Amino acid sequence: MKIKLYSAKTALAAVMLIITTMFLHSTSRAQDETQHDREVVIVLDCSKSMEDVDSQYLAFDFAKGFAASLPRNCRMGLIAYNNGICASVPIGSSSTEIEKGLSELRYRQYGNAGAGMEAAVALFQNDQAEKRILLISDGEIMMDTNDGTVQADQLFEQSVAAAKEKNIVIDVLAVGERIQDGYTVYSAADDTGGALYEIADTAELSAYIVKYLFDEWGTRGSHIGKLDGTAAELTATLPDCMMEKVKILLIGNQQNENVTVNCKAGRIDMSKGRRYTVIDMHAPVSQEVNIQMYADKPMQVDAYFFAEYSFRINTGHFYEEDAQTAHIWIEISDTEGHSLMDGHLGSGAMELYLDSEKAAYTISESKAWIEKVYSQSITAQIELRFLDPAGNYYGIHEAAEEITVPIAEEEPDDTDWFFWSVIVLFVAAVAAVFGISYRKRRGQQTIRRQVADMSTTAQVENTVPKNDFCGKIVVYVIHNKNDIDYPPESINLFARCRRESITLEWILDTCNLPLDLKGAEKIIFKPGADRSLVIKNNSRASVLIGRALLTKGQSYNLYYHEKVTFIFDQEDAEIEVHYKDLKPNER
Amino acid sequence: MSIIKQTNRTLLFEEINPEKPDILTLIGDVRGIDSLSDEKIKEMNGALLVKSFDEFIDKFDPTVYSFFNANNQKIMYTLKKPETIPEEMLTLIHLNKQNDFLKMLMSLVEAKRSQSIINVDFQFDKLTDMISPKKVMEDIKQNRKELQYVYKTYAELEDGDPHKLDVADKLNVMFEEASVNYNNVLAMLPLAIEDIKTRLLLGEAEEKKNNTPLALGVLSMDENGELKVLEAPKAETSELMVVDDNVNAGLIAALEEDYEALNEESSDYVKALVTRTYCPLASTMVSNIDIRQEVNNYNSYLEFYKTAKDDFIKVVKPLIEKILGVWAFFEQYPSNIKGMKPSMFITNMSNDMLVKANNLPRLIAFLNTVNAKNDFDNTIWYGIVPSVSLDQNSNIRLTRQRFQGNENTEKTGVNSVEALVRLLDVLKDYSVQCFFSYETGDKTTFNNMATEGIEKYEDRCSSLIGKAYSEFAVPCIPNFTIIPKEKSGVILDNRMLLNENNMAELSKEKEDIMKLWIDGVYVGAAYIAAGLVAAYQCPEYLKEMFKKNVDAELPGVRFDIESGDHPLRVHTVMAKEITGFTNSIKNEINRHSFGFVFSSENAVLGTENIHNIMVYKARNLMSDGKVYEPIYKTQVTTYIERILRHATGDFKQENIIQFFSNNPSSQKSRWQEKRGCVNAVIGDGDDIEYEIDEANGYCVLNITFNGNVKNLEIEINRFNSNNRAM
Repeated sequence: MKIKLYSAKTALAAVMLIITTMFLHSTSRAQDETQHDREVVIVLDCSKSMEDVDSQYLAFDFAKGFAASLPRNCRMGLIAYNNGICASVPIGSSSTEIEKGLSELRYRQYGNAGAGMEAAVALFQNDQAEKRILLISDGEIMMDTNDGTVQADQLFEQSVAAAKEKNIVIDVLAVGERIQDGYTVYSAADDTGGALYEIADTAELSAYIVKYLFDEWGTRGSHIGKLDGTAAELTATLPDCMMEKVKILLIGNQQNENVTVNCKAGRIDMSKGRRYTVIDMHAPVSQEVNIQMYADKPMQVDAYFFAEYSFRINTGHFYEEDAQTAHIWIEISDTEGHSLMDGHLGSGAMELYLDSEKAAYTISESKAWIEKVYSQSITAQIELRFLDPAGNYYGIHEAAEEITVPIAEEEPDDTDWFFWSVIVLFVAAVAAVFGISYRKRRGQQTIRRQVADMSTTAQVENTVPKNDFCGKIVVYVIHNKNDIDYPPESINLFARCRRESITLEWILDTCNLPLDLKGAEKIIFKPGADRSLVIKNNSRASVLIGRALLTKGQSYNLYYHEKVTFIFDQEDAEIEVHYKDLKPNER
Repeated sequence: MSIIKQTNRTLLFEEINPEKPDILTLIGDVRGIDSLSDEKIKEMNGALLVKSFDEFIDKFDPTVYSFFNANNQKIMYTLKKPETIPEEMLTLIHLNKQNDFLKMLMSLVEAKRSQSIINVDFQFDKLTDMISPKKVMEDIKQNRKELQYVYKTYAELEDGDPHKLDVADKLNVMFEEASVNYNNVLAMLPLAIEDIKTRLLLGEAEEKKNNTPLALGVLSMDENGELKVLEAPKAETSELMVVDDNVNAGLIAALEEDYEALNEESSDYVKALVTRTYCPLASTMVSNIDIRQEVNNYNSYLEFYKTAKDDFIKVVKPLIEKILGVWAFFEQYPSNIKGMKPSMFITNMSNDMLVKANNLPRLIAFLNTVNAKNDFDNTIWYGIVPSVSLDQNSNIRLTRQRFQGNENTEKTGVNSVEALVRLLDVLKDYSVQCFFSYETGDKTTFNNMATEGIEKYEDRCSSLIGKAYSEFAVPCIPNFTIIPKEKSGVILDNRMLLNENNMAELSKEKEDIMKLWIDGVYVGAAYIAAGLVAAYQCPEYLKEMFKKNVDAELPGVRFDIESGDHPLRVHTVMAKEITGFTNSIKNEINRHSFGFVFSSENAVLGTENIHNIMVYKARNLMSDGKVYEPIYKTQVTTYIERILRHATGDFKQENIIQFFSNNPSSQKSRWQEKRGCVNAVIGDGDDIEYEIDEANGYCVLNITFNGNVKNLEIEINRFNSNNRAM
């Protein structure tokens, strides 16, 4: 009899374990992104005197190469000055815009470094970012009149002081021989805690791209080889093809022609100057990148590469009560949902820290698994560190997983017959209620659907069973706070979407639209009759089909060739979702 | 034809005149609506739909704005109306058929067509000098003659004669045309240039230079009977050359008065110039003119005219190419045929703006209204996206500049491939076949394709292949050349200088020849491809070309322009440009049957030589892995789907069965009856079958074209009022 009782107890524990596991699904908490932004403005002296030290315009070449090489967390602007400001490109501009800004410029007139510095300081808007100015000049502040020179110098001093106040560090890249007399710009470096680099030959400037990127700013990158002679070939092997972007920098003396790149990628952009080539590959497909360069004169080119990954962490666990062990899993996926563990991360290129201690992990099912004994409920802190020498990872590196340990049943000294009778009766009663309810529902031909977000108070829907998602949806961002033009994105639902329901948040995530709309997870789409989509809005957003405003909590059908509009007042965003059928060749 | 009256309305994605209404403005806000009202479509048709080139010019009035910049002493031109410049400081130059530049280009195409000479042999300079001051003056001389004649008639008629009023009306129109020249200093320049030339060089014989100043004389005999030319007595006079003094005095007065009325700041010099131009005076060359001053004036006028014309051409060329594109579109359909005339709906806005995510729903609402109804009068069948960027990445410059080469300036008005993709993604849902061509220039001409082949086009299209919209993307190559870059020089005139006798003469030095370069004018192949395909939709057009075997009721949706002698009969109206493509280039084209390719080949139809550019391939970008699909298949499928939807009351199952039954009155039987026609919907070797999948509510049509099956899936209408209720 005792054996039977124990087996009943084991069964109850198993039920409890299942219930515990069911309810202990992922509750990972988002933490602030650790990657910080960096803003840099290049201030370029375009006075006539620069021509003496830079007749080849290699300072321009440096600025263009620098712009093309930057990693994604670094945004750049540009100011060029002579008598006044002759070019101003705001922070965040693309390398093409920088190149365009420089295209018409020549060294001429005098050098009003004050105006240049003032304009550069004014370009910075983001208080959170690390800010830096790179001033490239022959060092001289000189205007056509004495008064003008004095004024320019005073303005320079004031602007440097203003920069210091705003925590902007100024590095001075002084080209040519150091000027001893007159008004100069050298002091700006000392005043703001920056560095003064004296560069005799502007050909050396290109080396500063590497210095800033990898030495100063800690961008992870690798030196992958050299290209020497008049004909050179280099094959770089990427660690995997999971990255969003790879940049290959070819820095050094080269001819402005004849580069061949052999590889496959979603998109390849190439920027080329006299002393740099930047190959920018988006979504690489082939792991091998073959580069060939030819020149009339021998080249001296160093090749570097760095990769950029976007990732997000999902965590979850199940608790093994007998062993009092939580099996925590960590899934690291890219923006399209592919697990990064399938790439080189799966072979030990990362470390996991659980509650600030390095934890051993195993990889299985594209997830990393950690085991730890917990005797009481706790929030486990998980930290992810990448060991990849050339990989830069953008995403949240930390997550928290709430481990709930079920309260252990104390072993009764004696068998409490009354207690066990009550339990058995209770279980029988619950089973009977479930059984009746199940039969009743089957009789009504309804099914109970799982609502995506368990925390919402969404009512259970009664819909006709066997409806599958079909057709496709096209998402148009009509308006957003930053007025960015996001290209329309479509999601093929037919035979692709295995879920029972989807949310607007899922749609936006799948479309890679970083809008972060509050309540989007409470707008639910399900397959309905006649190939319709059933939409239910539980959020504060205004939802319109045609001119009709959808009542909160009520379901509506969206048929083919109809559209639904979502207006999020709080985020100042408006989205249209068009529902369309699929042509046979689209399936 | 009774259901679908047109299968050739074309949507042009181009901006012509930003001051005129555009598609987005007219559509307005589409929040909460899926389609537009009939009134709105009518209004849009009123503003943006054109059925001929003249209507296009009338409706869109392509205009260039010019104003003077006192700082650099230059005329500035812009296609966008500068908002900060007051109206009175702006001069509007209307690019219509009267515009000398446009007129010259259209004459070029027509002359080439009538002479059937390829580019390498064609004397472009004979026509390009139409924009030189000499030619402008010749035009004015012709007008002047008419003006004098009409004014004479007017002066001779008695007051009160009703005919005098009619003549006055005519005179008003002529004065209006003449005033275009004299109320605008720039337009006066060619007149002034020619005027000075006439006055200073009058004594210069054509064949021999004469260093003696001219003095008019009379032929007489002296007392010894020797023949002599005696100098006539000089008189400061304003006498008229024309005998009838009164008539011309009246005309001069009228011109002076008109000039003063139109110009607030009138100048005596210009006033005199106007009257001299339109009503020449005798003996003005004997007046005490300051020759040095006049020579300086002449040179500076010529210089200014050259710079102004040069700047004008640079600014106006992209717009001119668009206008010529529209002209070429309509030219493909002969004006004497009265049938299903092609019509063009113009978006009149930049594609970058149109394809923004917040604007696309408006375009969708428009297409939903015109293309997703069972009324096909306003249905759009074709789209034209010209000037798609050819450069994958224009930032890359891989050659060192050893000599000054072409500046890779960012071309304005070039459509990115991304914009094209966004448009295609919308157009495919409404079955609009989109003809697109690459940016114009000497890299996309027949000449270039004949030497470099089609690889670059195939490469550039690779991102558009294998997509849902590939079927609706039709890459048209190569672009057409109106004036080749290397033959686009226009000699305006020579500088003038003073010789040792203080006489003015034209310099013969090479550097004194004032020449401007138009730098090539081209027309996008998409305009002509769409124009030709739109033209052959019309049964009357096909009848004109084939004479027999053409059904008067059916459109040319199934017409396969590649087949048999079809390309020889249905060809463009553009003249041949080159001697042809080499066999290896043609093999390359045939290997995959890529694109809508024009050819400039020698061909004979019967005994008649074809001197026009023909269609070599007409394919879209849908590929079975080996070859691309002909465009007619897409259009037949769309046509059948639309007819079927209409005839079956939105795909009612029982009606579908009736539609395809063997009953002689069924639509399929009626189409099959006309199997032998050039424009048969179901031609020889074609068939349509259907299968109904009752379980899923689909009907699959298997349309067989010469043994190749194309599937069309339609959803059977099984909705009823009960199951659509909320």
